[in-house]
Parts: sequence; C-alpha cells; structure tokens
Amino acid sequence: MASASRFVGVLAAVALIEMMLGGFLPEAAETVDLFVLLVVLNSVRGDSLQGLAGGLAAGLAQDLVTSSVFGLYSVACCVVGYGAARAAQRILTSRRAVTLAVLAAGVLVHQLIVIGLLAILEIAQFNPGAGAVLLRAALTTAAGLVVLWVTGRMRGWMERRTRRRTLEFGRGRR
Amino acid sequence: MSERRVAVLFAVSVAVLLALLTLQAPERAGDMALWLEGPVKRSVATVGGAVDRYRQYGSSRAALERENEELRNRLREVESAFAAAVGARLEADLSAEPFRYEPPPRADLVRADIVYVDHRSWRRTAILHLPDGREREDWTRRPVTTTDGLLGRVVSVSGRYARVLLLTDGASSVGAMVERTRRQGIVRGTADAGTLSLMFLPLQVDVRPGDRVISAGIDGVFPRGVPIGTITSVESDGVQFHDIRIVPSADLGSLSHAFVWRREPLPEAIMDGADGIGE
Repeated sequence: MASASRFVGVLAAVALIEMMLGGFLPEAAETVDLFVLLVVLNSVRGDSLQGLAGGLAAGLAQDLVTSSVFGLYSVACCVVGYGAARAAQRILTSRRAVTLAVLAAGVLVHQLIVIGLLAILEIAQFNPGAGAVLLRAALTTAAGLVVLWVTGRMRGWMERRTRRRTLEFGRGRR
Repeated sequence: MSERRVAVLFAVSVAVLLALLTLQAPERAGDMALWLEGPVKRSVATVGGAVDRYRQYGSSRAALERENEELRNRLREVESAFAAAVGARLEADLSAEPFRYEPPPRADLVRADIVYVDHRSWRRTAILHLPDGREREDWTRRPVTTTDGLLGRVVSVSGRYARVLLLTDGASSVGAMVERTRRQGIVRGTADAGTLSLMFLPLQVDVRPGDRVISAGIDGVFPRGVPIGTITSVESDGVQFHDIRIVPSADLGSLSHAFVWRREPLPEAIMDGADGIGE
C-alpha cells in the first residue's frame, strides 16, 4: 500500500514535470521519456502485477498529459511494465547496468509500439526516425542512471541518519 | 495473484486498450481485423490450394496425356495433307509449264502498329505507324489486313504514318465473293459501323446467312482470298438484288497492329480504261 501511494505520488510528480517541460521545453519532453523510466524502475523489482498496474497507470497519465490518441501510450507502457517485470524475474536486476539495459530496451519497445500502432491505425503521422528513437533511449537511460545514483545516495544518507539516531537514542537511554 | 492470472489480466488489458484505440479510428477497424486474420486465412488458403493442385494434377495428367495423343494424331494428318498439297503444287507447276503460266508473285507483309483509330469524325479510318526505313516506298492503295481478315487500304502517307480507310467506311468498296458459291459482288461500308453490305448479288443467287465472304481479287487493290466477313442476314432488296449484311472478320474494336501488303496495285490508268482503248 505504501509503495503504491509512493508510486502514485512519483507519477503525479512526473506528470507535472512532463507538463511543464511540454510547455517550456518541448524538445526536452520529446527526448527524455520519464514515464517509461518510472514504469521500468517500478517493474524491475520483479512483481508482474505491480509492473502491469504501474504501466497501465503511467500509460493513462501519459495519454492525458500528451493529449495524444487515448490508449496509445497505455498499451505501450502496459507492455513495457509487464515485460520488464517478467524480465526481472529471470535476470539479476540488482546490478545497476542490468537495470539500465532493461530501461533502454523498454524505451525502444515503447517507441516501436507507439510508431507501429500509429502506422497501423493511420491515426496520425509519426515517424521520428531511428536516430531520434536511439537518442531518446540513450537520454532516458542516462536519466535513469542519474535517478538510480540519486536514490542510492538518498537511501545511504537515510540509512546513516537512522543509524545515528538509533545510536543517540541508545546513549540517551543509558 | 498467480503469474497465469496476471498474464490473463495483461492480455485482457491490452485487448481492451487496442479496442479503445480502434474505436477512435473506425475506418481502420476493418483493416485491423483483416491484418490479424489475414495471415491465418492465407495459410488456410495455401494449404487448401496445395491439396487442390495435387488432386488436379492427378486427374489432369491423364487428360493431358489423352490430349497429347490426339494432337500427335492430328499433327500426323496435317503433315500428310501438307505433303499431298506440296505434291499437288508440284504437279500443277509441271502441268502449267507447257503453257508458260506464271503464278502471281507472292506479296510479303509488313507489320505496322495501329496508333490511332478515328471514332470521332464521320470518316472511319485508322493510322498506322510504319516500320523504320520504309519512308521512301509508295504505300498508297496498298491493302491492309489483320490476322483475322481484311481491314482496308492505305489512302495517304505522311512520313512514317499512313492513313487506312477501313472497310466499314461508306466510301470503301472491295471486290468480294461468297466462298461457297464463288459468286462475286461488291462489299461496302454501311451507316452502321459494325456491319458491311454485300451488293449486286442477284436474287436468283444462292446465298445464306453463315456463308463466308472473301476478297475476289478483281478490284486491282486487294488480293484474292482474304477473309472479309460472315453473312448475318439476307433479304430481298426490290426486284433485282439481295440485301446482304456482313459482320467483318477483323475485330475493329480491338485493333493493335496490322499487316500492309507489299504488293503493287494495278496502275490506275489501266483501271480507268485510259490506256489507249478507243484511240
């Protein structure tokens, strides 16, 4: 429950950032996919239901934020979330490099699904080209690296703080 | 929740989302369904086709062998008939030798593309594109045929283009005869573009619908024996002649190429009788 509420909070923050980026820096919003980043990082814990639910929620949010065809990003994020969770069940995702590889693959799969669906349904013309897709995957992976580094540092800082408080509490008791 | 249930939930979610997407593009819904079911149908059709072909192969092989045998027999008959014809020709040549009879020289045919058929003006003509290197020849009044029969004659030439007056034109006339009875008349075009008229055949002449009409070779332009058409109706036109309608052998609705006969027509002076008679 706590992790779900935390995911919703992060998702809201990501949606807000995407909306702001879309308004002020549309190029940046197009080159870094924060939703996929969130979905993959949420899924690499290996729980497929969590991956599926997270992907669906993030996809719906991306559909709302990007004002694209409703359901397009939901399909893509759903597949990426579930796929990343299933992959995490088979490979060791505790290593940062593996997580980043899954993230890069997730961005590529996400883009391919979006381009493929738009082409099949002929809803809109969208063909960013292989270079743009690869750039998006690389930048999102780089963003993922930064997020992993920051969360790792934060986790370490919080652990040290907890340990220090525990020690101070112990001294006070004595 | 078990992995299997999550997998089912995933499949249902994706299906619902895809349906949602398809609803937003209803004109592509059919294509989407076709895209999904197309490969399956094609596979079924391929397997069915292969089975069908195998079955047909078995049944048609016997039929092909029978047909092949019939064709071999027919070829033997034709070869023997040809040999007999060659023999008859040699015999005829030998018989004609004491009389110094010379058969008319054989004409060779020049293939030309039909580049224009005039359907707009009141004249019924076609334009031929003559082969390269033939500009210096005099093509006027030369007969033109298709593989089916007589088409007309060349009336004017400009560069490599020649205008052909079609048989169906009202101004066109050909000396013709009924193949069965060898009775001669004149074939002319009619107001109806698809039919010809055979004129000057007296009422007492035996002529029936279905008789073939060929060129008689008496008009100084067209060679003898080229198919013109088939009689479709015979009616009495007053007291003297039949009113005979012919459908042309050459299909004027599907013209693509024709053959021009390299055959010198009779000099017009001789045909007009201006070669000294009465002087």
